Amino acid sequence: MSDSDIRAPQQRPSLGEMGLDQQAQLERERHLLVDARPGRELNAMVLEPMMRIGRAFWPAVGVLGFLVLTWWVTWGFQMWWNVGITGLNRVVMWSLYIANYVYLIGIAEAGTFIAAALRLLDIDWRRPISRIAELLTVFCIFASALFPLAHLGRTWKFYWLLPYPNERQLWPNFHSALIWDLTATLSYLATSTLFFYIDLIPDAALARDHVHGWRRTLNSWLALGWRGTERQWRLLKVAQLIFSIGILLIMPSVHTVVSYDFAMTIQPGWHSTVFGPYFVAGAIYSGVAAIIIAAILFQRLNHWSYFIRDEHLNGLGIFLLLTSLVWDYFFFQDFIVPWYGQVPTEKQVLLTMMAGHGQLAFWLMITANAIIPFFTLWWRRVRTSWPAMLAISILIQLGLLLERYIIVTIDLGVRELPFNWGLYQPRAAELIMSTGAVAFIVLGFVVFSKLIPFVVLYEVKEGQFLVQLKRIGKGLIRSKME
Amino acid sequence: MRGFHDYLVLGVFADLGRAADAVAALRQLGIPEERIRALSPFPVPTRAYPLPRPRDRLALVTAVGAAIGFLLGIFLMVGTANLYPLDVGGQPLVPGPPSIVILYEYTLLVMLTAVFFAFALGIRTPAYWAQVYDRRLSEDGFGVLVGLTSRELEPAERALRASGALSLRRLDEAGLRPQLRRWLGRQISYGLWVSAVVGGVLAIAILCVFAYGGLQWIYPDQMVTQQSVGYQEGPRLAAPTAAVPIQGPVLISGQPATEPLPGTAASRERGANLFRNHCYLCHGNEGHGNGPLAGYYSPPPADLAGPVVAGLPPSEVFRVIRLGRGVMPSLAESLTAGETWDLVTLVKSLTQSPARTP
Amino acid sequence: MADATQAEHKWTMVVDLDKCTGCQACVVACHAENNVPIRNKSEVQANRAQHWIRIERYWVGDPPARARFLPMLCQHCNRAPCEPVCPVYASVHSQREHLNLQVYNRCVGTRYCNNNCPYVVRYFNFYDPYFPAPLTEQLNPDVTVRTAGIMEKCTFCIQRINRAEQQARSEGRDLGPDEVIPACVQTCPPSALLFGDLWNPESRVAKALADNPRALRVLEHLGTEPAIYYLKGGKSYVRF
Repeated sequence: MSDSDIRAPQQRPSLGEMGLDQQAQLERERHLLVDARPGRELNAMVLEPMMRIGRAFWPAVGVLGFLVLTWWVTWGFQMWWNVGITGLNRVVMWSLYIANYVYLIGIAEAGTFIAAALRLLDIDWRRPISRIAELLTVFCIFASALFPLAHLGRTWKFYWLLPYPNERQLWPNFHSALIWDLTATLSYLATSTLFFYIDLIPDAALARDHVHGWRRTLNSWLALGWRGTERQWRLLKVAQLIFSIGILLIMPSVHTVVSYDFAMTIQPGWHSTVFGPYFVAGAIYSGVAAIIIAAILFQRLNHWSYFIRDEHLNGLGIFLLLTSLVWDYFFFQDFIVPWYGQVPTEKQVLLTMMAGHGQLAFWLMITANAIIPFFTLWWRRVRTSWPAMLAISILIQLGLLLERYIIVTIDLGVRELPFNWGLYQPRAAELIMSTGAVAFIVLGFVVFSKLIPFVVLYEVKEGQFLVQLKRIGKGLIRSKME
Repeated sequence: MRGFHDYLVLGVFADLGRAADAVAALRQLGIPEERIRALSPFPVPTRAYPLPRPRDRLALVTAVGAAIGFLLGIFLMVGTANLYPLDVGGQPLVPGPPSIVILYEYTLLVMLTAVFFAFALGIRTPAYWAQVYDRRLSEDGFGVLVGLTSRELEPAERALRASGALSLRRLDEAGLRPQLRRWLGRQISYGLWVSAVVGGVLAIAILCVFAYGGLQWIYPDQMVTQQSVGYQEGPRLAAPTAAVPIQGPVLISGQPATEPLPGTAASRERGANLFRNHCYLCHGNEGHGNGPLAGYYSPPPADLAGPVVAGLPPSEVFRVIRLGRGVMPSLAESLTAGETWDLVTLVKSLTQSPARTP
Repeated sequence: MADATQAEHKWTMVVDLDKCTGCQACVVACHAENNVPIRNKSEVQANRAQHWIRIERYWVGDPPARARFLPMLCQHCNRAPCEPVCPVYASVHSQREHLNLQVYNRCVGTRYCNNNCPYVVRYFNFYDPYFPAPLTEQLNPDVTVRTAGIMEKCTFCIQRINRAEQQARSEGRDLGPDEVIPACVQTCPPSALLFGDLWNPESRVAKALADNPRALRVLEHLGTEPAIYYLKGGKSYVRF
C-alpha cells in the first residue's frame, strides 16, 4: 500500500488529485481484474500450490482421515448394535443426525448460489472463488446425504426409498415429505456435481497442459479433450447459463423441501408456514459464511493474495451482512407469531427454548447469528480484515448448527400432551459422527486442492480481458465491456 | 471438423487482434467458415472473429429434457399411486401439492442432466481421433485452426505467418488411413454415449423382469424365523400344573377339563375319522407308534395301545392332545373340544380291544 | 353375511376414565399378548420405556393433589397423521377394519411417524428384544416378534380380530356383537375398557356411547378423528 493510504481519510489526497500513474497503480493493487499479468504467471500461481505438497499436508490428511475413519467406524457400530447407542428416546426421535443433515445441506446451498446467481447477475467478485464455492456444495451434499441413511433404523433397507420397479411391486410413498426430500437432495447432488464439472473442464485442460505425472493423466481424463475452440466456449457459456438458471430454481426448492420435513407435521413449533423461506435464508447464510472461511484459508495457505483480495472479502462480507439481516427477519417472524398468540403448546415450546433446557443453545445462537454480525459487518474495516471475518464466520456456523439443533431436538421435546415432554442428550456416537462429517468436507478440500486447480482461471482471465482502465478527464475508472 | 481436407494447421498468435486478422485473411483466401476454428484460453465475444455465431441445440434439449422429466414425475405421482393404491391419512390417492413438488424436482433434474449430456456431446468428447494443439493456448496464446486441402496449404500458411503467427503446426490427414482412423475414433466416441443410454435402458428392463417376470432373488430376512414357538412347532416345555390358558378349558392334571362326551359308538366313529387325518401319520394305523413319519422323531411317538397310555385317565389324554407333549405338537388349533373328546374315546378304545383296527 | 372375513367393521374402544384405577393390568396383558419387549432399567431411565398402552398420570390441584389416569394407546385415527409421512408405506389405513396398520417388515425406521403422532403412541425398537430362554415359550405365535429398527404400536389386537372372523366364517355366521376382545379389554378389572364394532347397535361400545354426555376424544381439535372415546364425567359423576 502507498503512504497515502495509511493517512486518515480526510488527509488522503482524493483520487482526482493523484497523477494518472498513481491512480493506475492504486487500481491495480485494489482490483484483481485490472491487474492483468501474463497467462503463464497466472497459471504458475495456481498450479504451483497444486503440485507442491507442503509440510502440513500429510499431518492434516492424517488427522482428518482419522476423524473420518471414526465416523465410519461409529456408523458401523451403530448398524451392528442398533440405534440404541445414540441418545434418542421415545419422545425425541430425531436429533443430531437430522440437524447435521439440514445444516450441511444448508451450507451446500450457498455454494451454487454464489456461482450461479452471481454469474447471472454478472457480479465480478465471484470470479476467483467460484470453484471453491461449488466444491463446497458437492462435498457438503455428499456428506449430508449420508446422515439420513445413518439415522435409519434399518439402514440396509434404504433402497426401498428409491422409485424403481421391484419384486415387491411397491413404490415409495410420494405423500411423504421424506421422499420429496430424497428427490430434491439427489437432484441437487447430481446437478451440482454436473455444474461443478462443467466449470472444471477448461481448467482441467489447463492443468493437463502444464503439469506432469499422474496429475496430468487425471486432469486429461477430466478435461475430456477440451481445446478451447470458439464453439466449445459458446457451448460452455450456454450450458453454464442454463445450469445457472436451473440450479437457481432447484436450490431454494431443496431447502424448502428439507424444511417440509418439519413443516408438514402437526408438531407444535414445527407446524409453521414460514419454515420454507426461513430455512432457505438460514442455508444461504451459513453457506456464505462457509465460503468465507474457505476463501480466507486458501488465500492464507496458498499465498493467493493476488487472487483473493479485499474486494472479494468485502463483497462476501456485504453478502453475509445481507443474508444475516434476512435471517433475522425470518427468525423474528417465526418467533413473534407464537409469542403473541400464546397458544399453550407453542408457548411451551418458546419457554423451553428461551428459559428451559434449550436456553444455552438459544442465546448462543442469537448472539452468533444476529447480534455479532449486526454490530460488526457494517464497517469495511471489519469486512476486509481476515481474522475478524474468519472468527465471525465460524461463530455463524456454530450459531446456525445450534439453530438446526434447537428446531429438531428442543422443539420435538415439547409434544402436545405434557406427559410427552422429553429431554435429549447427545451421546458419543452422534458427536463422533458430526465431527467426522465436518472433517470429511475439510479433508475433501485438502485432497482435491492437490488434484485440480482451485481458482477458476479462465473466468479471471476473461474478466481481466473485459475490464480495463478508462480515462475520464483527469481520472481513471474501471470500465467493463459487456 | 467436417469437410474434405488433407491437412490440419494450427497457428498460435500472441494476442486476439492478430488471430482475428489471420481468420480474416483465411476467409479472403476463400476457405469456408466450417473449416476454421478460433481457439482461446478464455471465452471471447464471438463478434471478435469474422466467423458466424456457432449454433447449438441446447435450447431444444432443455425443452425435451424438461418434458421427459415432467412425464416421469407424472408417472411417479399418478401411475405408481394407481398401481398399488393405499389409503394414507385420508389424503387423496394423487395429492395435489405434493405432486407439484415432485413434478418440479424431476423436471429440473432430467432437464439439467440432458443439457449436460448434450453439452458433452457438443464439445465432441471424448475425442479419440488425432488432435493438433499447443500448450500456449491455455496460457495467453490465441490459436487459429484450419483444415486445408493440398492446394490451399501454401497460401494459407503464408497468410498465417503474415498475420504474425508465433508458430505453426501441421497434421497430415491426407489419405485413407488417417481418414479411417478419424472415422473410427468418432464411432467409438459416439458408441460410448449410445452404450451409456442403452445400459440405462437395460438396467430398467432387468429390474422390470424381476418385478413382473419370473426371476426371483430370495435373500434371508430378519423376521422370517421367529423366537416364538409356532403352531405345530416343537419342542415345547410342558405347561406347569395349574397354568391358566388364554382361551379354552383349564387343564389341571387329574381333573376333567370340559364335560366329557359320552363314549358312544358314534363318537368312536368320528374319532376314527379324525385319527386318520390327524394322528395316523405318526402313531400308525393301530396306534402302535409306527406311522410313516415315526422314524423322524426322537423319542418315537407313543404306543397308544400300550400300557402307559392305558393307565392315563381320559382327562389326561384330552390334555395331551390339546397342549401337546414334548415333540408332539398341540392340536388345539385343529380340533374343537368335542372333536378332541371323540379322539379320546377312540384312543381309549384302542387299549381296550387291540385286535380291532380303527 | 356368510363370509365374516369380508365384512366391514368400525372397531372402536371406549375408555371409562371414571372407572380406571391406574392399576396397569392392561399394560401387562398387552405385553403378554403382543410380544412387546421389556426394556431394562437403564433404557427406561433414558425415556425409552416401551408399552403399547401406557397409563399417563397427571397430578391435579395443589397438594394434597389428586392423580388422574389417562390410558393412552394408538387412537387408530381415521385421518391418521402418521400415515402420509411414512416414506415406504409401512403405516397405512385398513379400509375394511378402519384401523391404522403398521407393517413391520416394510418399516425402515425413519421414525417420522412418531414425530407426527400428537399422542406419541408409537414406539421404536432401539435394540433387539431380549427374551431369555423359557420366556420364548410364552411368546404369542400370532404376533411377529419385531427386531431392532422397527416401529410398532397398538394394533387393537388385530390377530384376535382375525381369529374371531375366521372362526365365524368357518362356522358360517356373522361376528357376534362382543365377540372380539383385545388383551387389555379382557384384563381390565373394573371393565373400564370396552371394545367393539360401533356400527353394530348391539355391541357394548355402541350402547355405551349412545347419547353419552361424558364422551370425548383426546386432542380432537387436531382433526385426527380417533377411534377411541373416553368417558369423563368429572366430580359430578364419581366422588373421590
